[in-house]
Amino acid sequence: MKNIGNMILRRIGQSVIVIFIVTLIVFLLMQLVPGDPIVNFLGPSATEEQIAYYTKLFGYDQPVLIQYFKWIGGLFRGEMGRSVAMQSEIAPILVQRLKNTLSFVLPGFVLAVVVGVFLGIVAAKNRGSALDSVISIIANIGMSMPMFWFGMILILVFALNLHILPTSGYISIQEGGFAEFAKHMILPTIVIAMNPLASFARQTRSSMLEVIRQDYVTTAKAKGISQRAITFKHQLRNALIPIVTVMGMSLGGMIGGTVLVESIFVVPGLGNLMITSIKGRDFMVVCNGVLVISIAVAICNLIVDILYGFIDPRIRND
Amino acid sequence: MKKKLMATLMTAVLAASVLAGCAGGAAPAAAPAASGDAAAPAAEEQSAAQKMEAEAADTNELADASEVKYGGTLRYASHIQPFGGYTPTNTNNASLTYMTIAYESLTSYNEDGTLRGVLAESWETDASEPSITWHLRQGVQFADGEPFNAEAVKINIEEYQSRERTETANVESMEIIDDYTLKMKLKSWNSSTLEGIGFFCYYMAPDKIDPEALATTSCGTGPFQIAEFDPGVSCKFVKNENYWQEGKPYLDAVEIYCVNEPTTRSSAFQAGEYDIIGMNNLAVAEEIAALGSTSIGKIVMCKNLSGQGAVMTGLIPNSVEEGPFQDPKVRLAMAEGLDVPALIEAFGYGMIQETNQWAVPGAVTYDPDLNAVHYDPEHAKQLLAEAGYPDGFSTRLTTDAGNKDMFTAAANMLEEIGIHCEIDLVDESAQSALYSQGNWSGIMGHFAAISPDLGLYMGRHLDKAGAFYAKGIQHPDDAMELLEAIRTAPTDEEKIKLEYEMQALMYDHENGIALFGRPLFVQNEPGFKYDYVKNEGWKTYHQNTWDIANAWLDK
Repeated sequence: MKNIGNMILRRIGQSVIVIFIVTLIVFLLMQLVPGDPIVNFLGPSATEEQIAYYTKLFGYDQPVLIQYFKWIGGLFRGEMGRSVAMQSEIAPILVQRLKNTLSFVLPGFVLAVVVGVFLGIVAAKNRGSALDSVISIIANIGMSMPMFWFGMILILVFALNLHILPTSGYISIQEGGFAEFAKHMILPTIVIAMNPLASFARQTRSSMLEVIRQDYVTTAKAKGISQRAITFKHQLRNALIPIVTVMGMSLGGMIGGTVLVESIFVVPGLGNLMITSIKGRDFMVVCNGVLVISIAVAICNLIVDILYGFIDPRIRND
Repeated sequence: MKKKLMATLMTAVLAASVLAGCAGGAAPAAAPAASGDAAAPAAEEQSAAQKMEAEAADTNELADASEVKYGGTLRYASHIQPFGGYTPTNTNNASLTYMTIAYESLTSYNEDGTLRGVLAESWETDASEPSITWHLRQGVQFADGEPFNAEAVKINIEEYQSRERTETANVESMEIIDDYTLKMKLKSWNSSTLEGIGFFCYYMAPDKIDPEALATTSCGTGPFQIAEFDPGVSCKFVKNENYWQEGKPYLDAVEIYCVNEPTTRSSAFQAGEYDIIGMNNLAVAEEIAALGSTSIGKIVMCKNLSGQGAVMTGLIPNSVEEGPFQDPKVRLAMAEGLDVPALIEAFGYGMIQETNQWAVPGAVTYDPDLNAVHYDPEHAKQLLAEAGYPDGFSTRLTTDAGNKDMFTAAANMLEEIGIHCEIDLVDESAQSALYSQGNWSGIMGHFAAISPDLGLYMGRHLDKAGAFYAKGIQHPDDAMELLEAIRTAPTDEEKIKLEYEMQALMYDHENGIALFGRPLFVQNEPGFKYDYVKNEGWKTYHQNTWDIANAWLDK
């Protein structure tokens, strides 16, 4: 256990350094991108006096490094600065948007893991059969289907033709109750889950096939252990390392890559906020958004590292 | 064999389910198309939008009081982000859609673009003193019950001045004559100050004026006030119980949502999730117009009759950078090399209107007798030869993705007269940076707000101190003198006469200096509503405003 504790501390230390470097790079890159948040916000009727006034008000007239360290200093005080486009504090907006994003990304991830791993196991167990072919086709379609197109098709089928789900929007549980919340989240959850589901199914099938004919599996069978126990305790557990690696990468990617889903289904989440802010050159929102996504990815990686230790005692004791 | 059969069956099932999703019902597959992606309507055919416009029942006819139904919530969606309730920072024209629900100004527009009183009953201007005297409406209260009076106007104008708002920059001092009369002494006479203060300043309750306090709420004299505000997402308004118009508003609430994706907005409208939508994608707008109706009801197109707040799109050469466009003959040649009617026919979907000057046909400053620039490739070639470019020259044309197809077509037209353009694709923010710094190379898109008041609107780009385009265009003495003369014109008649002269100076076919290149068209961003939405007056007086106190739902 001491080894795991040390590993976690080491990983956290590495993550902090990575996040710091990412913030610096993003902050500097945003300065190099042509465009000005004040100019965008005020619109084509603005005058030089107005632009100068708001540039000073938001501190964009100061040297870049001073702006950067002011931002980092603010983070230690729990302040993320103000959005030019939204004329509001950034921190509460980001927290709310992250919650909205997670409200379909996490169910989507769970759906992808449960269904994807199940399909992968079934495909591996029935290698070469018609069922294996069907699952492979589904996985291939899932991986190659454009998210935007799939989302629009689901809207046309379930909202406009069948009238059983809303086309878009987000209603929190507090606002509309769980049923309304769930109705609005079903389609985004399915769309966000489709690609990782397919990926998990393929990875599980491939990993399972590698262990399925190992000697220890034959030994287990010879000892009369039930098929279910062999599948889950001996085969799946030994196949899990590459699957967990893909899952960790996918969850990080799902949090950071929700732009399309949020745009199609009008979910006011992190991806939507990021794309709007990048378009409007709302620098501080972009930098803080990248920071939040970096932290989320770092946490996912940390969880994966910890899971490695639990799945494989050799890693734990190394 | 089995595997092949299963694979074929699966493919067929999937294809069938996809087709089932696309076919039937009220909604055709809404293709995500940038302008120009879809096939253009044939020349002699009316577009669906034009047909809808021609057939549209006028749902904004004021109904008999006995017909009006009280209650209900109007749900509106557009791509524009909602803004908070502190008005001086909301300078973008688009923010008017939100602000005019909660706030009111001293004046608004009539359908022909002239001013009408709202919070001001009347006003007097004196060019010799110079001053404007406002006579305010009595019996008006802010949402918190505080009275609207001369003191409130004075405090609000001072707040605008502290935020460097140009509309109030010309006000030197204010004198409260009585509770409902306020005299503004001006630094110098400027014929645009009346409109600037009258329309673009909105009044907040004086004791609530604070950017933080009004970030997520409002306290104006308007018919509805912000009850819930989610930055960048939605803004929900509820009825102002202190509203000054007897018996109004009729609705209980108005909800505004930001839906960026045009196809999603269209789908949600067709599913009845919104009563009214704005549509910034003309291809999708054409699809909605083609529907005519859905299971929810008949669809009506909202039209902007006055041209106020509409956006003119043109192509503007950089006349400051070293090169051919410093010569007015070359700029004029560029303007004459563009077959604008063909561009509009191909990319306009019947929803944009050609213009050849800085005004909408029908507006007071539009000069119908102007011998304006028009497509004349032979004249263009002759001008180029006179300017020393008989074999043409190469330049760049910068565009954003939204106009790429149209501007590429324009570049091909310019190629015909010898101007070879290389296309530079940038995003909108990068384009804005080029406008404000004036350092675009060659030609780029010109986007200008339209108003009959050329002194105010053209001045923002022509004036040496203008924030947009100004650094990329020349400022010849005759143009600057004319601009100043328009601003200081003592009467409306004199002003309009000078504005006609300005239009001729810029856009005359023979002698125009074409500083703004070629205006192409005016786009009134279309909107759609169901015919049960009555009297909301959206886009009637201005592209981004309502007559929301009169709105009601007939359902």
